[in-house]
Amino acid sequence: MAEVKLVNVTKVFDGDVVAVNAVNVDIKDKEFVVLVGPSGCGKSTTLRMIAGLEEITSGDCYIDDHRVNEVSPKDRDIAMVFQNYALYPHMTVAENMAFGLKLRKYPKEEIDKRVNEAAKILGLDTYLHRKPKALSGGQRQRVAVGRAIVRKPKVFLFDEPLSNLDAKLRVQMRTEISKLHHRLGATMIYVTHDQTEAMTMGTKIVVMKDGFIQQIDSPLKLYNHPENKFVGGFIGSPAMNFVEGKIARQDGLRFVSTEGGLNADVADRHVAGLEKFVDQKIWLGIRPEDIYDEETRDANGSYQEVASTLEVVEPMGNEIYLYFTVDGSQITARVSTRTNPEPGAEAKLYFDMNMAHYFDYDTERSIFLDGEA
Amino acid sequence: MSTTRKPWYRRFGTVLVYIALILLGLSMLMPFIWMLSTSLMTELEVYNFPPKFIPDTWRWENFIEAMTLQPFGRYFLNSAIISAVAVTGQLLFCSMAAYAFARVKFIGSDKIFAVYISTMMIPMIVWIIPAFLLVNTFGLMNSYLGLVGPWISNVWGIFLLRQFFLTIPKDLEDAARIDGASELRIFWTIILPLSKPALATLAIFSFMNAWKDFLWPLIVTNQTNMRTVEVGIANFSNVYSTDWPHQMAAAVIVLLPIIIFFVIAQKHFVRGITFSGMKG
Repeated sequence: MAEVKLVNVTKVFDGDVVAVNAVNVDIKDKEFVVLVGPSGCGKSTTLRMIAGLEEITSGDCYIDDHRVNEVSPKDRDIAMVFQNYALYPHMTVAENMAFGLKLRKYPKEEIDKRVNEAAKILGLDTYLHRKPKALSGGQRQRVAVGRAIVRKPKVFLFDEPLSNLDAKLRVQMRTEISKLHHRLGATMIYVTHDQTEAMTMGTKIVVMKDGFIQQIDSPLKLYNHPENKFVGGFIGSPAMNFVEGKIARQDGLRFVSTEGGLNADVADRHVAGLEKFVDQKIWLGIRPEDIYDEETRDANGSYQEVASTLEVVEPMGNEIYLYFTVDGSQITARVSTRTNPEPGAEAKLYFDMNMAHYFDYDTERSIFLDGEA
Repeated sequence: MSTTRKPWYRRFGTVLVYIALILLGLSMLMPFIWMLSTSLMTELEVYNFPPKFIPDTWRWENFIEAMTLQPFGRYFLNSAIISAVAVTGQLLFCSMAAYAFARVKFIGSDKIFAVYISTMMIPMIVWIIPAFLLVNTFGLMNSYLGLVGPWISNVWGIFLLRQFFLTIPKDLEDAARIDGASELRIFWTIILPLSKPALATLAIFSFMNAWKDFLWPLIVTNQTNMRTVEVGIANFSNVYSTDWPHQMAAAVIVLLPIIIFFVIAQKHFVRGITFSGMKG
């Protein structure tokens, strides 16, 4: 059992830089929670406060209902994996893993047993007597994970552990850590700036920006119902497209972009919610996969046709990214390879207005919160 | 490798560079050769003109006489004690002070460090008399404490180690802290083992400085049994004359420990010079 609870946790550096602002997170036993956000959003600082490496300026941190604000890192029963692995260069793999247990005065047989067990899980059996210098990046990462496992802590903390690995290895380690989570059934808190890692690994994602929590939700909920423009744009790759415009009443409601490049019927399910925004500025958000071209659109859908020039065409193999502009905003569409578009060609693109997101122009909050529409 | 030969002027240039370097190397060796040859001459031979390098008869007795004319056994013991204490003291105190300056947050740490560094700019000539007065007032004349006191720590060593500690990733300490290590344990089992090159550099420099120090031991001692090897060498000169062969014989013997030390620690020494950007 290990629950972590942050109540109004705030971190102020040097008296006036607020890195983390009144953060409230409830992490349940065995959850895999990912803290995600752009650099400088306070996610690492939050993790370090849970670890006890950073003092909490105000607010409370609880592990299993014990307030741990003043508890030193070693007494919090946590283990942490660092971005640069932080392996002790002068110790062998086995010594690295055993260090924490040795300091806690475990009997030697127990230490050996646990180290061997962890080495087996991580495929490090044959490297136990090597120094970190003689290992590849992926193996070092594994040793860092091993050092955490042997301690059998209540909570695992990961601080961008995969960002120093190459793309292929990163995908592989990603699934390994997920597997490990299932196998150990431990509570894990994982910090990353990579939304793909967040989406694929987390059972719960905390999106942060400028020290504030933007949204806490499951990956799919976050993707389908972003609570604000930032979350909409941050989660998903390629990112959600935004078009500035306003709601007009012409035979029902229409979304009209600033220069009229997009003039679309509002889908029925959005009408009620947008009623009070008539003649007001608003952001329309639409994901790249909700924009189709001639060949891929479903003949029965309710699409808005937009004529534009394709500026860049990126074939990804399994799909194609099309880049074009609407009223000066860069728009990305993601279409199937059935089409064979040429850059520079005139093309008709179809916006699936049913899948559109609307955000308040000033607060940038979603107009349809909690997926009521 | 390309098999085409370099053009003649390139090869000529290389030869010139080699000649220049060989001459430079020989000029560095010159004083040592001279010392060695003088140490094997008779006193009269030293004053031959034109001077010669190879003595007519090699007087090996000079070495034995040099060691017995003065109590060099005692001098060696004194120098060894001073050097050992200086090396141990500097490794211990400099590393601890440097760790505090590099890692422990305390009020005014930067300012205090700046004051430390600024003392490096004060030449020995300026502080040697106040230091002597201090030692004299404490009644430490002719004592080991007085001899080794000023060398037990060293600002340059603190600076060197602090800069090195700063390059050790902070995550290592955080990892150790989570693993359950105390501050002292982190210092002892993580920081120090990782700082071997810097510690070796400091050990070599502090040994050399303590061993070849002349002025300080001369000032704070006036009893023969508390003098060091360097003072012993100087004692072969007096106001009227210098006993060159015996002085050079003693110098050769006194040089040996440094050469031995250098050969053993050569790898670290060279690395240390490039690392510290300073020359011995």
